[in-house]
Amino acid sequence: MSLRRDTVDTPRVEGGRASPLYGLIGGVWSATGKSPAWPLLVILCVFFAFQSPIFLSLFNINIILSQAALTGVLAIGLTPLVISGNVDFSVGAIAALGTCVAVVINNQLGFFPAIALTLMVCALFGLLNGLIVERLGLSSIIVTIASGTALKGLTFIIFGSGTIMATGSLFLDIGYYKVAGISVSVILFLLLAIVLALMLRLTVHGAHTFAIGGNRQAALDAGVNVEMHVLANFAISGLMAGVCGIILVTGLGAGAPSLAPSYELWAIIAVVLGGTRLAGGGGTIAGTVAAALSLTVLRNGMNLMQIDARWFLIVLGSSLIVALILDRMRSGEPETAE
Amino acid sequence: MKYLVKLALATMLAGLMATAPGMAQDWLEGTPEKPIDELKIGFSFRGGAGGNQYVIQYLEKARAMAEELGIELVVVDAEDDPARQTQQMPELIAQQPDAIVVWALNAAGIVPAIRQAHGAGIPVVTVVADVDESGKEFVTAHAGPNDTLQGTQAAEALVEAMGGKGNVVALRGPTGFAPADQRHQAFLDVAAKHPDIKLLDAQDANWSVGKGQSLMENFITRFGRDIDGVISSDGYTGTGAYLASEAAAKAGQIDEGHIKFADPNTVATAYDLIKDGKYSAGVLQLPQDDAEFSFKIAVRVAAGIEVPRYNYLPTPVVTPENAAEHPRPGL
Repeated sequence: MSLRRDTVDTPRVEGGRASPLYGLIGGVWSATGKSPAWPLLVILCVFFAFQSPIFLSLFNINIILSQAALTGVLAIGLTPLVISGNVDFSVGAIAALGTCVAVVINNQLGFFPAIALTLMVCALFGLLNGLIVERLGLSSIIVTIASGTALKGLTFIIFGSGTIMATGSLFLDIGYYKVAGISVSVILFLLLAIVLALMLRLTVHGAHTFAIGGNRQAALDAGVNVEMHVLANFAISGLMAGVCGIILVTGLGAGAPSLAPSYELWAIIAVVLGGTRLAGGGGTIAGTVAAALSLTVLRNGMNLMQIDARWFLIVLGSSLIVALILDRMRSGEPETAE
Repeated sequence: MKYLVKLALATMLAGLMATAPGMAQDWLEGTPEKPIDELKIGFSFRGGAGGNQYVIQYLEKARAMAEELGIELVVVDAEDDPARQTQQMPELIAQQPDAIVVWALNAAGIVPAIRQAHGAGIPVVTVVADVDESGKEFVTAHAGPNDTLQGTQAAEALVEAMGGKGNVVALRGPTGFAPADQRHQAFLDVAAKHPDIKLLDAQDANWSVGKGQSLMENFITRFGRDIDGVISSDGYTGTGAYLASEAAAKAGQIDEGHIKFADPNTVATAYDLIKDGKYSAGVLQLPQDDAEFSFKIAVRVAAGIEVPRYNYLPTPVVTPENAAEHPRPGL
């Protein structure tokens, strides 16, 4: 998969694209903010509401939102990066690193230095990924899979293979705290989603992100500092991974290199399912949020129905394939400002 | 008159036994607060979708037992994610079970979850994996294998097979994982009591045949004929170690049949080797026995019957002499 576009993005005409069915799907799609995730979310919620009386309780809704917040934070952090034409498979490893840094610094220096340092370290790691990709001109898929793997090993070496408990109760207190029955982590997730969405819509950085993803060469020719914007998106991705790590610590009261297993997979599936184009140039934070929620609703609902967890893996894999097919179908549509 | 009294008593007894099937389970060792088949048990399961045979067979047995007893078993699967396991606890609490069984992925990370369950008035039974000190006050009972005991059993069997002296290499489980640490420490404690037993080296083998084999090959390259015994973390690793030694013996690097092998958790392949006399000893820890043993503790707790705080699964030592008396493990 080439993520660096050197050619102009022209609408593709393939056999069968002209069929009215595709036109209908495309129409519905556009109507829902260019993302299949919102109707999916609604359908899933309705379905599970009928399957279990507990599903729509405030209690269960908070569980769903809290679970979605973890990979959701990673997914919204990835969205600007994917829009600008790259990807980051190391976010799970960065989040795990984040949990260890947060706990260790908390135990040595206190809560606030822990937060600050965790976010810094994780953002820096994201930046490092970006530098390797941009300066060396390498594919971000390979670079970040490699860096994620290496980071995982490094985290184990630095922090050991056990779990580190956080001293003091501040992390867990935050984890327990609820506003109107909704956990702090959920509120944080939604706030960050709004901030990132506004960044994409209203800032120069956002506009350039779309431009770079849509046609990197044209952006370069237009005088955009492509490297700076891409690096910024990598840093954001790392930063969000740090936030994910902190949220993990508020839930567990501990950190460990083995946490956040395969979270990057979930996050990327959410990004693609949410309608963000893998090739770059299009996507919404809202779609990512809806997709993250849909995946969590699916898992939560299947759990309530006592369906074996292995079926969920099948559903997950299938939904990714469906998302990729839809992504392909859309890749011929003209660009619009979002 | 006496005859009539005896008849009456016998009839009453028969009547009692016929009408209280739930109370005829003598393993209950007490009177349940309500009929067994009205119990609901929540199971916070660590997850086995990744293909961990032991874990999957354990869950199957637990489900089978629940069905047999007519108990409603609600399972939440954490899919090997400690954060998810902690987050799923409110889901289980919402079901209002009579007890919650927890197979914790992370001894420290699970503490907030069991504290919640305890706070909601639901008794918690931890199985297989114990929890951190800080969480023990919230747990009613623990049930499962005793890795220290099993490690000791295997170590003592190995030392005996070696005649009380010689050099040992250790293929241990992942450092930091409680069962692996406990088994290895048990070996170290046993070795300390035998001054003629020397540990050459220990490496992490991650419970796998392949890893056991390649690590053993390295050991043979380094130590050659100096190796007299191998203590493994489990039967898979031990099997791998045996295969490596067999190949090395054929290549003339070491003497065939000289090295003694033992492990604290035998599996089908290791069991076969034991039966053939090629492997000195294993310890039988079957997931089905583990599940049945622990599930019964959980049912007793759910039924309001008092149980000991710690309940350890009996695990016999399997040797070439007694192998035929024990079932072949299904994994």
